[in-house]
Amino acid sequence: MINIFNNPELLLWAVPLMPLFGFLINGLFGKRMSVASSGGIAAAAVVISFLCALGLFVYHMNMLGKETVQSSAFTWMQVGGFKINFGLYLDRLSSVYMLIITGIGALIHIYSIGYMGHDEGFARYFAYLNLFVFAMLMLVLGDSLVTLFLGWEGVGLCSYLLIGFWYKHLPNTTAGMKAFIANRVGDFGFMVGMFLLFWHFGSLSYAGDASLQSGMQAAIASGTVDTTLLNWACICLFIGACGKSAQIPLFVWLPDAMAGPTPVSALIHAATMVTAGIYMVARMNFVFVHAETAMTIVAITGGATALFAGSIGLVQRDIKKVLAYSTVSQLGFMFMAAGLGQFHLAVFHVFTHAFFKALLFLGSGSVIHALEHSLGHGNPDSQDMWKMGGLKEKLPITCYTMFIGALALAGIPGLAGFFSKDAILYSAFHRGDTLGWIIYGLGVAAAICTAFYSARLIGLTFYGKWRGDEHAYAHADEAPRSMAMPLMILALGAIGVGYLLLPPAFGVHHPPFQTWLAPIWAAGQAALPEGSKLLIPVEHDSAAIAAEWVNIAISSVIAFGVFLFAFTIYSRPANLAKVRALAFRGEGTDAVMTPWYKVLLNKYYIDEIYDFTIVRPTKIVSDVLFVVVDVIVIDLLFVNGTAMVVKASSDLARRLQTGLVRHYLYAFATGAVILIALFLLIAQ
Amino acid sequence: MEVLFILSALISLAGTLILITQKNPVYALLGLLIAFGGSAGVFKALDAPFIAVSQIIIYAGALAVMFLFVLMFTDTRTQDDRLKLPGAVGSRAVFNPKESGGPAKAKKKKNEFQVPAAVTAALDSIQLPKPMAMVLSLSLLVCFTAAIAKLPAEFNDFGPLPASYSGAMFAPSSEDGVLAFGSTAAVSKTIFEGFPLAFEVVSLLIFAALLGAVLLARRHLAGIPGTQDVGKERDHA
Amino acid sequence: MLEPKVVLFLAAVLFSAGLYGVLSRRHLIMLLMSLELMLNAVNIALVTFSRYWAGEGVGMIGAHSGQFFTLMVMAVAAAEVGIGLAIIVAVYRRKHTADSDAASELKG
Repeated sequence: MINIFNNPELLLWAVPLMPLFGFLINGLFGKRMSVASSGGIAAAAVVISFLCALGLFVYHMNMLGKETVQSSAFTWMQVGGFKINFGLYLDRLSSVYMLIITGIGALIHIYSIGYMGHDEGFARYFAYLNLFVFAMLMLVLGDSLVTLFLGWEGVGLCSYLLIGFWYKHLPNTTAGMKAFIANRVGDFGFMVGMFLLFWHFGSLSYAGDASLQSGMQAAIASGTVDTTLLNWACICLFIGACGKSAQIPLFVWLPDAMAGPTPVSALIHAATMVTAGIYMVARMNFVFVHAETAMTIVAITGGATALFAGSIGLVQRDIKKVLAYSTVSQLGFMFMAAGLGQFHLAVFHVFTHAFFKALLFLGSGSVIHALEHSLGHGNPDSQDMWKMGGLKEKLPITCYTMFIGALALAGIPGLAGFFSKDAILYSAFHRGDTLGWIIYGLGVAAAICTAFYSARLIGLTFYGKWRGDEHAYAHADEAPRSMAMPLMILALGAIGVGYLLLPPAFGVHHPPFQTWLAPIWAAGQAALPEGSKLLIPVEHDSAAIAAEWVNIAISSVIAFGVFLFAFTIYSRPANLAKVRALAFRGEGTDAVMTPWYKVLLNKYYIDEIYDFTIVRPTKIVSDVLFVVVDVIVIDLLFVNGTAMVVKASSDLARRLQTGLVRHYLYAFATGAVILIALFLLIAQ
Repeated sequence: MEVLFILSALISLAGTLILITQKNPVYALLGLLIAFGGSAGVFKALDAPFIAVSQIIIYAGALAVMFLFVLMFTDTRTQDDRLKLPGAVGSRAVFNPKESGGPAKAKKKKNEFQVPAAVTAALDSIQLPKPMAMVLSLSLLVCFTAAIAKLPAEFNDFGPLPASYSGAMFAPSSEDGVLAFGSTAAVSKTIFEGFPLAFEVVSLLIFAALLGAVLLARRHLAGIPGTQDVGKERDHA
Repeated sequence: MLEPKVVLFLAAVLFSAGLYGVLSRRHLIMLLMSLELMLNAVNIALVTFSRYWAGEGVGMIGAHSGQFFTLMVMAVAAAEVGIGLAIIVAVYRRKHTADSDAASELKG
């Protein structure tokens, strides 16, 4: 045991392999196991994986000061000069991700034992969940873009499997397919980006000697940095990130992905998988800093997505849909930060967001779980916030932990979300050019939305009067301990983790999180010219600190004000009627939705627009192709034509098959004699 | 040795001739036996006494008896000449005396030299060569002959056996460790020192063949076509 | 007369005669007998080469490998005859004849 602990490479391999073993055990023997053993094995696998990750992080990286841990297993593929190693690579960036994935993953596994205990497919569920953790760890621990892509596709697969987990219900499988297809579009961009990078640098690895970094260094040294090509490569990579991290225009799959079990939404569609795009951009930061156009696109897309999804989230009735749009919006914030060059802030927001969003999702899962008892599984009423209210009395732990999560999400000072979001807004504020102000405007507007919908969620769900089925309210019970414990741990995280990166205005010039990640950006920062807007600020003069105080004041006022405002509206039954008046004209059944409400409720008609501009034309083209190419060319000419030719010729050939042994013998002997004769002739 | 070779070669050629010309399977089997016996002589002439003995034990002793058994089990009267039509030949046709006809009985005359009945029957049952088969096998022979003719000149002569093979033929092992060429001891040493794996594999093969033969020849195997009793099938027909 | 080429020619003659038998016969047992003759011809060739190489200094195992393979052929032939005769018995049960033309179910 001690030896394993002392050997960082073994420890590193144990991190992804433990969940893989869990997957194999659950996948192969799960049907014969009880809930306790199946879930126990799955959770134990991830917990052990987390402990290994912790051992690596605390002992090897912090106490022994190892910068990187690498281990190459075998040469995966080699074609000419193209060589891909299958290996693991742990550095400071991936260590953060590794800890998030295994830590939050472990909590969610434990939570799932309580949540999925009554489901008949629990073994399948835990197998998928473990496979997901494995794939996600391969994504962040792989030592090249190709290994990353392996994990990238693996998490996509698991996401698809888990969205359509309750496959007997058609919309769930459709949602799974939607996620898969939207991701495929992104993956295509990602692959093109990889090809471009390989074409330019001749490598896809970011560890070892012939790496992308050294290729970049050489290009800088010889002054042959091809900015145009790098811009295209980065844009392509970002398209991939858009698919995985649900940015405009590929975000449509994430809200639908809520069809999966709620812990899955927490783990995959909030805390880990959707942040893979951020990871990839952060990992490639040394390339992205040379692609200014691409960075601008990243920032604008992020800002637009943040506001766009945030505004949709204002009116959603489904508790999970609100959280889904909120996730899209928060991912937009992360890309904003990345696009402004502040990669450490993007990763920090990933880090804090993982806590409070997982907390919110698990809390909503607890609510749904409580209501499903009497409403029945899959009943949409169990997720409709308009049919909840006053659940505080029934679900106190869930209520208070979710309240903390919502405050953190809203950006109330002192909680995790405040520090990360405020820092991002400040970096836009501080920039001082047009792009900075645009991003700042988008960000502030999105932050207002965020504060509003998080207060609305809490107010509608836990306060006011119960508006749904009385029976369901009476039978709503607080979550079991296995579900409550993760909620509390995550709530602690949602309060505390923000203090790892305090703003300079608080007198902290070297916050631990930033210091920890600094080596990752070092190469990229060094390549940037003096005074570049993309530089991560190191020194803070008094003017900058004053500006930061202004920004903090604005953010706090917005967060407090909007949160209080929305909370007052939604937690008091009397005010709800007034809100209704904003949304509907008229009373009762004659009520007509006001246009702006309608637009938001229908998510800006994005699905319809996609249906009209992409899906319909595709269908028309495929119909034409079906009639012309499929029916006539392929079916008639190729398939049936081939069949007819084969039939005609076989009608002739089958006469050779007389069924008489001696005829076959004659044929055989003739052939043998001819061969021997030929051999003799050739041998001369 | 030369004489032995010529004699045995002639014997085995004669046996082969009987084998391929006789219609009666029992005569043909006799021909095969003669051919095998001749081959055994050839083996002895080629300094392979162990192989020669094996040849007689395995072929003449075991295989020929097995052939005879099966000939007794099955109807030996072939249909080549009696039934011109190819295809399935029902047992009724075989056992129906009207259709089976048989060779016409020659009238016997007294006081005349009579060729023994077996010889006339044997002569009667000689069958005419089939042209297509003849062409094929002759062209194969031509090919082989050409190949043999092309062998280099060293193959004109066997040469004497080296002195290292001068051991006693039937001694278990001679004192100085010298083994006679082709002796049992030498062949066994070759088997167990040179090719033990092949030996084991071939024993496995024979075992499998044994099991297969038992399975195929068993009579009543429920559900397996072809293992029903003849009598039962006839009842159904 | 006792020289390799002559013995090989004898083997060739026996082999071709066996082939003729295999081709011209319709009785399955006769067919099998001719097949045995062909195998026997191969054995003769093998033993011939064994004797030839004995004089070329290839060591004891090398010189005897021809004879060893003769034994192998015999073993395989025995297995083949066993299976073959069992098949003939099975065919006979079903078709009431040992005529090879009777078993023509594989007709296309």
